[in-house]
Formats: sequence, C-alpha cells, structure tokens
Amino acid sequence: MEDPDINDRILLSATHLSVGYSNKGSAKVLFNNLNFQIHTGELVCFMGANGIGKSTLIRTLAGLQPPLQGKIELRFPDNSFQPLHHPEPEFIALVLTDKINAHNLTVEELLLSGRYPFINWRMQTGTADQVKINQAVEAVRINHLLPRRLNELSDGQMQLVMIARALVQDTPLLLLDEPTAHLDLNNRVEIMNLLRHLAHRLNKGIVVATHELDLALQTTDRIWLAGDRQGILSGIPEDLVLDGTFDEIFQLKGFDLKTGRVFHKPWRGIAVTVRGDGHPLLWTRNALERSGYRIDNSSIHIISIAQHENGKLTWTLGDQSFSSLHSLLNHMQTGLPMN
Amino acid sequence: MVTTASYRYWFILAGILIVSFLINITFGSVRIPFSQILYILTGGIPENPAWKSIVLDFRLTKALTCILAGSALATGGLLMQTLFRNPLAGPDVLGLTSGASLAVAVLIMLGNSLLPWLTGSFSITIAASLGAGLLFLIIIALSRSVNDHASLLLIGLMIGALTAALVSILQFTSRASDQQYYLVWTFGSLGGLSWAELTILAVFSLSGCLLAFQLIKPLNTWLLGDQYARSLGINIQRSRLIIIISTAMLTGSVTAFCGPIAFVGLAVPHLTRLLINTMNHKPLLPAVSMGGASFMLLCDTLAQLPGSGYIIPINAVTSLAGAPVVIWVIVKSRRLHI
Repeated sequence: MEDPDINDRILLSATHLSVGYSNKGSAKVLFNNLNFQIHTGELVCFMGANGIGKSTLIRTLAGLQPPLQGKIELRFPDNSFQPLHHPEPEFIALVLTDKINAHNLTVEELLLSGRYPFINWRMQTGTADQVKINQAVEAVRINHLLPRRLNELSDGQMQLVMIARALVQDTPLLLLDEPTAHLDLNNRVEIMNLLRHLAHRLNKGIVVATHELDLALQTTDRIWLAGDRQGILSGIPEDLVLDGTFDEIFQLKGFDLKTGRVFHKPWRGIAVTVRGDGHPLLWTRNALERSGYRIDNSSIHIISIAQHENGKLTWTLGDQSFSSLHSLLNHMQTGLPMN
Repeated sequence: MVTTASYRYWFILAGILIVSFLINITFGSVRIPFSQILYILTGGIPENPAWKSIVLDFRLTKALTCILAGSALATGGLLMQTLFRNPLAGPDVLGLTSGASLAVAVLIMLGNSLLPWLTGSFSITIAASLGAGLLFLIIIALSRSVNDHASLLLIGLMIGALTAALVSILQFTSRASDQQYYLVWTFGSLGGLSWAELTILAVFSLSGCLLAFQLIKPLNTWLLGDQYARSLGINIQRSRLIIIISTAMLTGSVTAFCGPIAFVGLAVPHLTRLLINTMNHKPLLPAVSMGGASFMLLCDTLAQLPGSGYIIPINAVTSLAGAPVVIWVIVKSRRLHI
C-alpha cells in the first residue's frame, strides 16, 4: 500500500484514460486504459521509444487535445477535483518541441508571455508579475540572457529560456516534451538537475517526456515506461531496473542496465589480472574489456597500476612499464600469448 | 518593465508624422505660404479668403484621409503577416482588396441600374468590407493546405486574377458611365472626400484599429505557435475571427473610398521595423499605424508632383515606394532561411 499522505499530494489524476487520434470516425489508440496520478514535489520521467505517443499523451494531459476515453481531473487548491476540458493556464505550464519562429522577440518579451493569462488586454504588468519573472530567471539562472533576441541563443539556452517561461506561469504542474533533445551532455545534465531541483524545492509536479534512459535513471523520482500493449508501467527507477522491466521493454542490446555498463565480448580469448584501486583500476578494466580482454584475477598476465606522488600513473606488465593505457594496449596487441 | 521601444522612437515616429502632415498640406497646385497655412489651421482668416476653403475643405480632408487610410492598411497588413506568420502577407497581395473591388464593382455596375438607392458611400463601405472579409475567409481556408510562403502568395495572385476576370465580365455588360466611374475608382484617389464620407471612413477604420489593439496578447502568442497560444488560454478561433473582422473593416473601408491601394499594408510593417525592431505587438501596432499614416501622406505629396499642376495616381506612387521593399524582404529572408 502507498502511504496515506500521498493522496493529499495529488495534482492530476487520470482514470481509464485512452489517448490517441480519432479521424473521421476511425480512432488510432496509442495508450489504453491508463490509471495514474501526478503528485506535488515529484519529478516523473515518461520514457518510451520515439513515435510511441509520448507527445500525444503530454498534449492530452495539457488539455490541448481531448482524450478518446476516460477522464483527467485536476485537484485545485481548495481540494476540489475538476475535470480537464481545455488548457488551464493557471494550473499547467508547458514546454513543447514546437519551434518558436519569433526570432526578433527578446528573451524578456518571451518570458512575459508566461504572465499573459494573468494580465489584461492592455498588457499592464504589476510588481507581482515582475516578481514571478525574476524568480523564474533566478531559478534557471538566465539573467545574462534577458536582453538577447531569440535568434542569438544556442539550443541549450533556448531550452532554459522556455523552461523559465513555463515557470513564469507559476503553475503547480509542469509538462515538458523532450526538453533535452538535441542538447550536449552538459546541458542535458544541467536541465534534468534543474527540473528535479524545481520539483523538490518549489514542490511542483513535473512530467518530462524523454527517451534518454541513462539520464532519467539517475535523476528522476518516478519513471513511467511506455511498454507494449498500449500500457504504461510506473515505478521508481531502481525497482524497474532490478525487476527486469527495463530489459524486457527496451530489449537492450549489449548494455547491462544492472551494472550501468555496456557489455563487451572477450573475443581475444586472453585473460589478464589487474592490480590497483580506485578510478585508475576502473578505467583500466574499462579499456581492457573494451579491447576484448577478459578480466580474471587468476591469470598469469598481471598488470599493476602504480600512482606516483606527482599524480602520474604507470602500468607494469611483466618487466615492462608504460606511461599510458594506449601504449600498454599497443604492446599487448603485438605479443601476448593466449592462455 | 519591458520597454523594447524607448521613448526616443515615439518622438521620432510622431515627428515624422507631423512633418509629413505639414509637408502634405503645404504642397498643392495652388501655392500658399507656409505661415498662412499654419494661420488657417489655427483658425485664422488668411490674406486670400479662397485659401481657407482650399486648405480646410480640400487639403485637410485629403490629409486626414491619408492618415486614416495609411494607418488602416498598414495595421491590416501587420495583422495578416502575424496571422499567416508570413512576412509577405498583406491585404493587396492576398486578394482582400480584390474582394473589396469586386464587391464595389458589383454595386456600381449592377446596383446603379437596378437599385440606385443602394450605391451610397455607406453601403459601398459595407459591401467592400464584406467582400474583403469573404476573401479573407477563403484565403484562410486555403492556407491550411499549403505551408510555404510562396504558395499562399500564388493563391492570392490567382484570386486577384479571378476577381479581375469577373470584373471585366461585369464591365462588358454595364453602362459606359458606370464603367468609367469604376475605372477611375481603381486608380485610387485620396482626395475628394466630403466631411460626411470622411466620418464614415473614420468610424470604420478606427473601429478596425481598436479591435486590432485588443488583440495584442493573442497576436504575441500567435508568434509562439498555436499550441503555446492555447496553453496560455488564448481562444484561437475567436482571435482569428476578430482578426478577420478587423482586417476586413480596415481594408474594406479604405478600398471603398480610396480604391485598391497597393503595397502599403505589405511594406509599412517592414519599414517601421527598421526603426523599432521588435515583434512585440504592444509597441509595434501603434508604431505601424503611425508609420502607415506618414507613408501615405508622403506618397500623396509625391503624387501631386510638387510644383507642377499634374496629379499622378496614388497607386503608382505606393507601388514605386513599396515594391522595392518587398524585393528587399524576399532577398533578406532568402538569406535567413536557406
């Protein structure tokens, strides 16, 4: 049983939800009979292969497209559950994959659009609006970008700005569709850390659709895994790894999720013993396994790692010593007998 | 606070507008000293009493017509460019003026003989607005099946050709006097409006502008795309309908009184952005309507060929000034997007 308090933290509740498209009477169902809740203070990664319908579910949860069946309810601050019929700009903020074509807009003007649901047609903003903008800018740390125009931003900066724009709306629920696509590793880690931080510190419910397994495993509180048969499996990442759900759904080829490492075949048929510790041992094993050697501590080929006072490393094999793994591997290739 | 356009730009725009107005009202076939013009405008009696009626009944109405028509067409152009997210959209290129022209042609050439009481300036304005609005609906319906800028413009071109063909069929069957009236109307003219006609134009174009100013928020979110706009609580259908009504009133009323004037709606938003480079409609809408008024005043001044007694059609002048702008936009956007 889940703990009883969790019901107090529900933001959105979906029951018997079917999602997809209906076109001229014929429906294309992407997900069927989903039942789930989104809670405050929780980062959820919604994972699945490309084309499985992640964006469609996000749009449905945002009220941009009607569900085929079932219902979505929002829990408002007065504890009343109300069905979602159309976008609720005061409750749900979005970051979508849609390209913004307003190259000439400044970041500041774009951020202000997050306040549109709360200001009148003459666009008169008050100090409250400015405070929300400042808070969002602070949270995402994009002060230096404010006066820039959108066409001057890199892809990573643009994503940060779009996340800030959603935060400016100051909604309890945030839905993000592939916010880390096309970004480099640094930016991806930064954005996922930021989202987790926002969920925990600002007590928001955040759902991120992504297909980046490694990143999600290490940052998210909960994973929804879009599997076969139009269903979604939900759980915390570690449970899903250990009970084999990931292996079954992703059918990973050559990647051992339980160790978090890529699986290498020891095709050379040569075993080596490695002696050392810490990071040097880890990366030496990595280099050897990647090159097709088997690590077996009963082997007669012994590689010892020594770390000198100046921080330099040397590897010793037999009576020869090497200053880099590269030279060690080169030597091993030219003449190490099978055993 | 978000201040994209600082006060400096507003002083420049207002200055351009006032100077254009004074230049426009100073030049004409009769030479009147500038000091006398200022004297007349402030309510004095000039040395030559005839000058007063020239300035107040002829030049002032024409200048006011220029201001109303210029800002209406430019505002309509900006609305269409944002709606279609197409820098080359405008009331003339997408056939709205053709729709208004067709409605006017039907009214002049059929109505004059059948229902003479129908051809007052008020009913012509209504007809032209309806014609422009109907064409706008057709263009929007067709725009859903094309997604590049050029195709939409080609459709606009074809609609222009269709209405031109229908008008020539009408001309074939109508009286010579009506034909001539219609032909002169198509040259475009900003002069000759009575104060009563000017009032009708003012009511229509100012209402259209007011509707447009209500749309600042939807227009800005339009730039972010439909999905973001809806997520911010914007009712897309409703905003689109208001844009259609507003643009139809703006284009229709101007076309009814001044004829199909080309290039103002297309060129002025781009010219204004040279001064206030923004896509935020809060400063852009008023700036574009001021820019449109100045542009029209200057074009009309040129149309008088200052110093000569000749007046050339306003359409020739707006095309001379506007067509290079369009070429510039095409060349520039090529460089940006390919």
